[in-house]
Amino acid sequence: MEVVIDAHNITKVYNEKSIPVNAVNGVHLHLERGEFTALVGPSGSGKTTLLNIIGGLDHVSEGQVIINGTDITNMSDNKLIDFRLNNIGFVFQSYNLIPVLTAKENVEFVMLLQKKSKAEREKRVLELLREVGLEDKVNIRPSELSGGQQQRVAVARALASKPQFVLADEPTANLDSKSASNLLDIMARLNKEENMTFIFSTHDQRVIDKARRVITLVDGKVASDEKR
Amino acid sequence: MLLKMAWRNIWRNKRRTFITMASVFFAVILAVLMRAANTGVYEHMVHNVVSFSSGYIQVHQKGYWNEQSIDNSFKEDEKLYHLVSDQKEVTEFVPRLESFALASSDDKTKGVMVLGIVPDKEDKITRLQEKIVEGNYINSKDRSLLLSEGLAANLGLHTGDTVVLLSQGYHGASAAGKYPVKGIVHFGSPELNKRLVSMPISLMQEMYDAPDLITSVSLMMKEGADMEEVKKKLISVMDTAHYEIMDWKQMMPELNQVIEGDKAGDYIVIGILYLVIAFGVFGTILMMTRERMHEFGILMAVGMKKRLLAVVVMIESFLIAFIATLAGMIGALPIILWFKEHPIRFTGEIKKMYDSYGMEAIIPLSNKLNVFTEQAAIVFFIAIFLSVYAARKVYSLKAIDALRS
Ligand SMILES: Nc1ncnc2c1ncn2[C@@H]1O[C@H](COP(=O)(O)OP(=O)(O)O)[C@@H](O)[C@H]1O
Ligand SMILES: [Mg+2]
Repeated sequence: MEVVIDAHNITKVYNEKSIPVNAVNGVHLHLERGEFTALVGPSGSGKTTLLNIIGGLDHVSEGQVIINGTDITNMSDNKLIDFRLNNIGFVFQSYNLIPVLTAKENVEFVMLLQKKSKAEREKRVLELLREVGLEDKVNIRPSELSGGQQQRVAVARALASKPQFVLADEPTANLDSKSASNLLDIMARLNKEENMTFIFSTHDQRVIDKARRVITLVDGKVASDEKR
Repeated sequence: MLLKMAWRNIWRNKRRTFITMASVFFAVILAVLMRAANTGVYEHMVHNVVSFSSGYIQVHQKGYWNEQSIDNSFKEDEKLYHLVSDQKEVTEFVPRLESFALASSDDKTKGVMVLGIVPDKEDKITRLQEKIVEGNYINSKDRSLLLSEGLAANLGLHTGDTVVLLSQGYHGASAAGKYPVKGIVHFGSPELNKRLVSMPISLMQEMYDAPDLITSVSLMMKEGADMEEVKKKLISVMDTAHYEIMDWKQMMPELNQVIEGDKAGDYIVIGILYLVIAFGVFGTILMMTRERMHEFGILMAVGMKKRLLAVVVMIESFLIAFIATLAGMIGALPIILWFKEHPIRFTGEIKKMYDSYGMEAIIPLSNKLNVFTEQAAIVFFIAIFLSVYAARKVYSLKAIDALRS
């Protein structure tokens, strides 16, 4: 199997100089292509911190992060921006979208940054919006979309750049349970159809139930890691 | 897409953008009007001053200005007159012969300046005829002269009386003459008013034994005409080994200094005006940047380079300033054109003062292009400066910190 995320001994200490907070403590994480993984644990257990690190948004205090064979541990912030563009799709908890851009433009934007041709952009954007069930909302701005619809656009955007994996930090936290399970179904389908690797944090049991692997963090350490 | 984003971003808070643009709009109008009025007033003043004295530009024999003697005069030259009148900005040109003399009445003698003029040409420029307070204006065939008011009073002379002029003629010839006073002229300038004797140029050439000789050709132009340009052209077509071509700034450096000093003051006032708008625009840019930190975080997370993000932010401040400035300039144009046609007129004391200098008591507005381009350039630089600040702010941003806000 192809390894997408290979993280060793991830340790993150905030405020090292004043009152140190050990947010993540020696975590090993090994994700293969096509996995659909939930990262769970109580609030403050270090989920966001860990995801930010493997997403190339934050640096470790200790340890090593290798994404698809590239060691990003000591990559500069500027290089990381490019790396994220081409390798990682993001879905955040809320306010994911650029308010002045339409659904279509939001999805298209990352492909523009990648300098993809207009024809390729048009094709993929419409395809993705159809996949997330928003083909009739193409020219609508985020403020006129429901929370669930916004998150679906964010998922479409995360996939638009054809990343190595999609990282979603509590993507359903602000959704009602119906929208939440709908979003998860879409993610699961994309996982199957495009063989896209997903890792998402959550503390919603119904969301956890849809994962095929569940990693539980407690106090910045992996407490359990089960595949189903 | 970047431009589209910037454009939509500036209209996210329509009211705020509108207020910012309105403040720039009115400030630009005010600044343009101020500059137009100042420039117009200076042009008006210069026009009046030079028409009574040097003209905008003078042509002399080379070396005359440093040694203003009748010995440095030159022969009237049709070719020169053609070159001069070919310049379409030149409205009129007058040959003059200038020298000094002692003027005597029965019991008094004064040092005077003698000016040989072509009476009807001269009148078109200086409106000399209107300034006659006693007697009549001269014509070119007359064998009589005009005294300035103060001089006539000092010598105790009236029209009809005779004045004796004594001087040195061309190349040491003796020059003397006895001429009746035909008219007395009032000059606004006290210096001229107590010293000037004007006579037909042919009569003066005869007295000074300087046939066909003149000391200068003075050029008049339309108010606000581009003198530098005309001067450049003249220098390029004329024989500068023979002639010197001087403008009023060279001939009256004091006047130029006064105006430049005055302008510096105007710049300060306009500078303060721009400072006020700059802060207004700055506030808006700062808010637009601040309230979008999370959004910037998202953009950087999904792979937008800071450089590109900075470009968007710069385009935004730019668009605001640019639209407002353009609108301001377009708004100012009809106002300027209207006041150009209907200048503000002074009344009362100020009018009297203007009158005494023979100037029309108005605030003319200049509609010179550089009044506009100058203001545009200033706003342009302010916008650049402000947007650079915002762009730097973006540049120093970290995706993770921005995302948290
Ligand atoms: N920027 C930060 N500065 C200091 N402490 C932080 C920061 N971010 C998170 N923490 C702390 O690190 C720990 C883990 O937080 P986080 O990764 O957000 O957990 P989770 O996402 O599981 O709720 C918490 O104790 C939190 O207070
Ligand atoms: Mg979290």
